[in-house]
Amino acid sequence: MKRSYTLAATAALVAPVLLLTACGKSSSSEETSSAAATSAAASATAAATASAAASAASGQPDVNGDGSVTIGIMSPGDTKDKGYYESFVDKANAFADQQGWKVVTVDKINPSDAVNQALNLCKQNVDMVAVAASELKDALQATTDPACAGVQWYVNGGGGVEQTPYFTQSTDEVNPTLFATGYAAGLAMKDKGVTKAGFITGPELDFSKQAAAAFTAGIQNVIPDATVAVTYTGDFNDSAKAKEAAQAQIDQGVGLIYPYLGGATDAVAQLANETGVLTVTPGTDRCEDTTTPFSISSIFDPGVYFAAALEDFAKGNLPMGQARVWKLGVDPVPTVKMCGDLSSFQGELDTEIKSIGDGTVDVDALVAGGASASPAAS
Amino acid sequence: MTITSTPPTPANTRAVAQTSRWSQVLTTLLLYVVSISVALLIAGLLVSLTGASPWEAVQAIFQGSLSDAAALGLSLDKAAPLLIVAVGTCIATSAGLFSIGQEGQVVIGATVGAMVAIYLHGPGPLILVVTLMGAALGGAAWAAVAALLYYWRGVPVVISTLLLVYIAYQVVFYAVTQPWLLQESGQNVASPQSDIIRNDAWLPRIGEYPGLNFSSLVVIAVLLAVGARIVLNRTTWGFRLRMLGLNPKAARRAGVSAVLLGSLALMISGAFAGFLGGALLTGGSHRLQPGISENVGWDGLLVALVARNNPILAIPVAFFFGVLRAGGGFLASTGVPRYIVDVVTAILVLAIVFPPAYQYLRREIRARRLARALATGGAA
Repeated sequence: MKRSYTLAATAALVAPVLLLTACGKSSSSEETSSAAATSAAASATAAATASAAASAASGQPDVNGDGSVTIGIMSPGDTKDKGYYESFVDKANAFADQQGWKVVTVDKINPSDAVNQALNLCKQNVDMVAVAASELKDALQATTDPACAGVQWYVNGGGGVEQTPYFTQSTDEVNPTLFATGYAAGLAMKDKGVTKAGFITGPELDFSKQAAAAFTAGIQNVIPDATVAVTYTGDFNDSAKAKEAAQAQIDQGVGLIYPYLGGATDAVAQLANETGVLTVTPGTDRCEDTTTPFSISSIFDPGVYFAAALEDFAKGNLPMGQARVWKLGVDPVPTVKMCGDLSSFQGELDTEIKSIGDGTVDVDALVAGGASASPAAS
Repeated sequence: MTITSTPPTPANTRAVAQTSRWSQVLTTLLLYVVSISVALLIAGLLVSLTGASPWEAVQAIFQGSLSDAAALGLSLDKAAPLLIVAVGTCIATSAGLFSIGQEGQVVIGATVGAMVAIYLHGPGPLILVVTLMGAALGGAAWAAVAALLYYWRGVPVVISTLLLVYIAYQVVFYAVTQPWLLQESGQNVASPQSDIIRNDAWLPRIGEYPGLNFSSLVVIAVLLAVGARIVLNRTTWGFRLRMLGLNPKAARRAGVSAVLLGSLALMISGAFAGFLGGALLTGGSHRLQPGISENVGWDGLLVALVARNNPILAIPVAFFFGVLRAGGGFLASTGVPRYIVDVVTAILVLAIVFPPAYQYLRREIRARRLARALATGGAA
């Protein structure tokens, strides 16, 4: 027994020494390739810088000159979610079909595996890698990998990803869009005579907390004494949990529910429809949807941003190293649309959106100033 | 039922043993051939349903895992974590404890490792070593909870370790969503992940792209597997551990403390998984993310199962699983839907797990029948 302990103690001492030896040897190789990130950062920086600088004039759209154009899409979520990610892919497919391009989609990517998946797409000779959400921003570490030499990169940056010369991104702002959505919800609630709303989202993340606060501020701008019950289910795609949360909110008497979700959106919307509760879309325009009708469409559609970038790409005019910021009240999207009977309030809503766009309404101050969402009792 | 037997002689005993060994090997081979063929057939059908060509899918799996030096390196990178989990599992299983909480221990190891790597200051190599040691201690401590519950309150290890996985997920998620703890800094809307750890504390890689290049974790994993085999089979400690696993009563009579040795085995298994968490942090994503484990804790268990708790046999099995993981990722990038890729790889994994599971069940059923027959005979 004693010998075993001696052996174990020796191993415990030797292991760190071996590791230290390995570290000493590796300073030059630690930024090298493969599994990832780091891949080739040092060795390929010069080439990639040159490539980025020449990006806009690098023969877009067929940047690799193989006679065809292939767009690789990376998505952290399900691209059959009937919402945010599906829209991203659908708009890309529609545009690609018109142009005779090919689209390869890889969805449900774990952020830890983003770099490998980006490298895999590069090895498929894609001309552009499009990252559908900033959650996968680590994939951008592959921009300097030799396997991705010459590939153009697009990121749907949401709140913004730190810009480098190797990619272009589209960004928007949570506060204005969600405030306007809340304002629209407030108009609808006032019309129906209700003062309680529900907000259901996935994990309790910074952006979802910010979205809840801005949505609440928007409602309270119309109905000062309105309350918003916020539920974090922990998962954007878990329909069962989302439906359970929605049922609990309905039992508490909410008259409008905003499912700020991914794949679980429709489950909540269907329940809301069955119980006569108003509901709002999280990102896409579904005013014409007859299967699962929505009362309000909050449109911050990543597919529209991407389609605009693809248009520039097709013309050879998509510069790397730049961000395009989409502003509510300035650009066609993001925007908010009242559906069906509620469309009579569209004029009032448009006026508010315009005021937000030209800065007359300081949304950030309104959101920071007061409106606080109340956690749901469920 | 009557049991007849011929008097055994050394010659015919040897011959019978040899024939039985050969027939066992042939049966095993046949089982593998059949199960893999069936799996390939089902996988091919599924891929065809998506409109893709099954042959091209096979080519894509090969291309992503074995076609060149870089792909081979990726397969090794994917195999090493599985091997480490499997080796740790072998140690716990040798003591008769079936821990299935490695996934949680990996996550906790990565979390502790991230705290060390981000908050500790000093030379990079030292930070790396301390990070890995801290991660191993974190994993061991997480496993110690299960040991405590088992030996103090009799809570089955399978249950406690499984439930601890889900608590671990919440712990890591909490850590990466709290700005005062580990959440990424300097962002307007911060992501649920930590900052990237300093690059002089990254686990080194061997070789360079586009040649064969892989993480030094591969070497560490193989050394751990060989070391575990030696310790389990060639040391007094290993003997005691196996004795405890095979017959706890006899072990206790021989002076083995089940509480001490069993707890230690569980903690060592946890330390392996925790160490792996630290290695994934320092050699993989370089930052803590909730999905950092990428299910290696679960897949590593399957490796141990297929390798029949033999750390050396776990090396090729882990490599096979690594090939599937690397090839599966590449297959997804060819346009085959992700869910089909997941199903295809799961079917192939099942094909590999099926023969040992089938043989184990068959042995158990035979043993029970024999025991019943003997009991009936004895009673008569």
